[in-house]
Amino acid sequence: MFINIFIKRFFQVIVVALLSSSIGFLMMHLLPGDIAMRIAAGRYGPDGLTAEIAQSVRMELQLNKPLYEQYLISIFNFLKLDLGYSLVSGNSVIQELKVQLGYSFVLALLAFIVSLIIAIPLGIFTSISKYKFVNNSVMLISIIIRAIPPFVLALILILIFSIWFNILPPAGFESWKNFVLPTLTLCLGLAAVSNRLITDSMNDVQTYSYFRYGRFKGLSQNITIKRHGIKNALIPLISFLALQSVYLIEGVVVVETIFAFPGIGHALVHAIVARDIPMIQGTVLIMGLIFVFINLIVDILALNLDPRLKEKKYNGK
Amino acid sequence: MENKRTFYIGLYILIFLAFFSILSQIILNYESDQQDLFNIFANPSLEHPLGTDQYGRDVLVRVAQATQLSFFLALITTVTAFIPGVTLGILAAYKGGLTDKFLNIICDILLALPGLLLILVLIAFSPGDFLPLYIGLALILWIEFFKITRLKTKSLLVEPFVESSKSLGFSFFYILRKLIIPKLLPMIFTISTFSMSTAIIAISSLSAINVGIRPPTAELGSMIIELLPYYEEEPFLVLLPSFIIFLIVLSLQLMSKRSVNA
Amino acid sequence: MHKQLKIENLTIYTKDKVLVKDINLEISTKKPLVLLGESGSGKSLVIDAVMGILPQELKVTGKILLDSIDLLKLSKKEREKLWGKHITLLPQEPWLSLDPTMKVIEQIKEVRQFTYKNNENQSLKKSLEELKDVKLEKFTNSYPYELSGGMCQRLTIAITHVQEGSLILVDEPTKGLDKKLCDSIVDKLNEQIKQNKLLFVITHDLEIARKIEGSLGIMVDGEIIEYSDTKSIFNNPQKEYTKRLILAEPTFWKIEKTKPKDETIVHIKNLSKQFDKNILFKKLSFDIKKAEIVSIVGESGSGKSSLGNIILEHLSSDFGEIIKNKNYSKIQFQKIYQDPPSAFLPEQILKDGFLDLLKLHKIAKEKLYSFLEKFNLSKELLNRTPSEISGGELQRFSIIRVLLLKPIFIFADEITSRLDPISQKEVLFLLKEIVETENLSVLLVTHDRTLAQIISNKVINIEEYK
Repeated sequence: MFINIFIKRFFQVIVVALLSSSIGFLMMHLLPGDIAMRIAAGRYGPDGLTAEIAQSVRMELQLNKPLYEQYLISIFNFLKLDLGYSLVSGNSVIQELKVQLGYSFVLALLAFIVSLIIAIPLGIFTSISKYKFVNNSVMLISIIIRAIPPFVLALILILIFSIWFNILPPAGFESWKNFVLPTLTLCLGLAAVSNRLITDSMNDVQTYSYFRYGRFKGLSQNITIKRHGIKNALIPLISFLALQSVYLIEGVVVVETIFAFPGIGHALVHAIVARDIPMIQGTVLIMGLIFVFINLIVDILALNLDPRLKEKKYNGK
Repeated sequence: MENKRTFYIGLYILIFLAFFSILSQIILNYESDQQDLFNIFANPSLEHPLGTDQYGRDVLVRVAQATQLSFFLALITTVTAFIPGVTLGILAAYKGGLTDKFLNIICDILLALPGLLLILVLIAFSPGDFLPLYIGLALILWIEFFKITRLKTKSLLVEPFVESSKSLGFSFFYILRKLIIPKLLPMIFTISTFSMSTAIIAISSLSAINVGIRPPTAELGSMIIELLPYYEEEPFLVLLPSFIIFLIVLSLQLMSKRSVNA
Repeated sequence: MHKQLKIENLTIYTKDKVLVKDINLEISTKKPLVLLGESGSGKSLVIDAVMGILPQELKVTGKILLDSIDLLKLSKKEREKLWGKHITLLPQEPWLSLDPTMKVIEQIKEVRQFTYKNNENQSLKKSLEELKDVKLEKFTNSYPYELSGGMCQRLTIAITHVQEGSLILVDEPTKGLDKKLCDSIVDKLNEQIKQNKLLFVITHDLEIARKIEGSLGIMVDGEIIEYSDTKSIFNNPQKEYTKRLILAEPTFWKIEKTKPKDETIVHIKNLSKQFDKNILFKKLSFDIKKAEIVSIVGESGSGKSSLGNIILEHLSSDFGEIIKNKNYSKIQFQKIYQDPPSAFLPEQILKDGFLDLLKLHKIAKEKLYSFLEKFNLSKELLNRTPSEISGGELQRFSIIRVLLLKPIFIFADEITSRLDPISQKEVLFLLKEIVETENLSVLLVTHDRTLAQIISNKVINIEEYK
């Protein structure tokens, strides 16, 4: 079973690599206008644009060679991890990515961890609590937060904390304070869904035969929850992790842009608007690879938690 | 949580919004981009029930149109996704073998990137254009329809009653008609409402960061961002489109039974 | 150590209906009680009431006296405290009650460790011994899905040994298991009786009822219609239903075997099939003649069903050949399934399904009605869905469905294992009758060797072909 996972994810890595390398190539040749001129204009300014400079750019980027050769060269460069230079800033793409990745990674990780810190105890507590009121109010709040798109949530938080109360900065990056609102935006969305999932899962588990049998054997409620409940309740959560990573990566793109947070998501959007092709390629590549990697971890986790999945032909006999 | 009750709440909200937006446009006679620079940020009046925006355009009309646009886009992307999704899902489950493998590989390819990222890649070719947005969304929404249809159909096809129907001489189409499609319909409905909410969130988010639908087209996400700088003077103009997006998404999520169970 | 369980005037009801009426039963040491009844008779409710796990909507009156304590008067918490320590439950279909993500050793060790608060090392040591006692030491570190049904049963019995509770409630101990295991289960239960434990068994299995000697109660529709010593009831049943029930055991059937004709319908030569590493059967050869009933017996999962599926071409063989009589078309080879409802489209009214079938094959409606009459099924049942009809009736509908196509061969895959003994007898007698009237052949899969011997012309033991 392990092999199948690795094959599938490896295949996806290739897809991501091919896709990102092809974007660059396709964009250069499908977009209107002469790409060499545009790049030259980007580098030296529209006034510095002369025919010779455009020609030298053309030679440099080997744009005079036949198409298929250019494509192969671009893939080759990719494999060498030569991602080129940003058309906007002139810096090496890899350099920029390194910096931006750092910011985004911390943001995403923080958001994920905080969401778990909120959701898991909340979910377990809600399922154990005797008061219906607790369950109903948590559910109501979760439903409402879920229905607010991340960018709207971001704006609301900016309005509350930056404009009304003026205690947190709304944009850019100067200090740790800039982390708070973006993290909060992302983790609220995540926690709103995961806590309900955990509550439902915990409730379900307690109806399962093996849980009840544990009680019949004489184990107390708490021990049974600990030994038979939590592990089995978390299993559905694992497959949900993959969905959460989707939400995180997509969220990172939108939230960073709104907060002008100097991460990879923000870089991608800027690159698209500015038509900075090497940057687009680079950001898509990195985000794609990270995504496949996360999915791989989730697959392995799922396999370890539920031994039945290891059995290829488990048919319940 | 009573699913039936939440379902109807969601449905009524949606119907109300739909009527409201259509009716407002019929009653008022403005174009959504009809500017009146002498009358910016007007207070609500009989002429302009919700006032005017920073270019003197009637707010109610713009909001109504933007709402209609959201509904329309959500609908067509979902329909474009579900027709091939369900058909191919059933095909993959029935044929199995190479067809199944091939379609699964396509899914794996599309799933290599998170949805929004895939759309962004397509948008990169011509930001602000509707076509890449539409195609990207349809591709992403298709996956869920395909996977769930395939899984459910597969699980149904291994049941004894399918084997016995075949032995008794019934064709696959009989089984399709009498069993598979009726069982699939409720699931498809759930996925559809969920897809539409995904579509609306995606479109408004992308428009808000200026790579989706751009002004002057009235779109809820872009309107929010456009009016954000004027928040102190006219908070209502920012909050109204936000509230409407929230309502649409909420009602769609209430209508899809998955809403409370993730 | 408790000496007696006495149930007095136990009545269980919802606000619309009385489910269990006025039950009076007694269990004492060395005198176990077996409550015998079909599904729906209410026996599960009685045992749930003793355990204290009836759903909240049900109301209970009466007394359940464990020695002098009325269990019904205890609070929920007090009753839960009795679990594992005073009252032990052996659940039905034990594979469903084992945590799929926990190793076998842990599931038995935790009783010592947490119910009896022994230290971990002691618990481990003793649990390993317990596993050895039931011959499961090889599976110490396995997971439940790796165990067969019988092994899961042994595990839960071992768990019962750990528990010192003196009242043991046994819920359908043979359900879903091979008939062969019946004796070993009876032995283990008798061991408990020897240790002076109070044993309360509910079952629909006549053999268990007979072999556990003590008191026997026959339960029908929520009431106990006969209650006496096991021996007296079996030797001298008083009520009509009890008589029918006892005669439903294959050993008592008075049935003549069919007379096979000369014509061979299916010829099997050197047939072999394996699934992954499992050899199901090798070099299997035999014939099935017209008007003959051939039975296949063997353990669960041994390939009996696969054989029939190969004949029907739902599955392919690895080696060997099957030659079917060319005078008959493919559609004349049919199958009847083990679980009656799963062979019908769920939620489709029987009438619609049958009308579609009649239309497809251009068969007259009258044929259907004449079969209904012959099989003693009312036309009104056609208006129901499969889940609204009893297993026995539904299985008869399955047979009719197949008969409409004028079959020459029927593969009957454990068609009575989900039915109660009386329905089982009815269905098989009917089957034998149509074999004679319609001149068709039957390949019967069963795990009941006695039944096989009694009803078939030939018995093939698939274990001999491994």
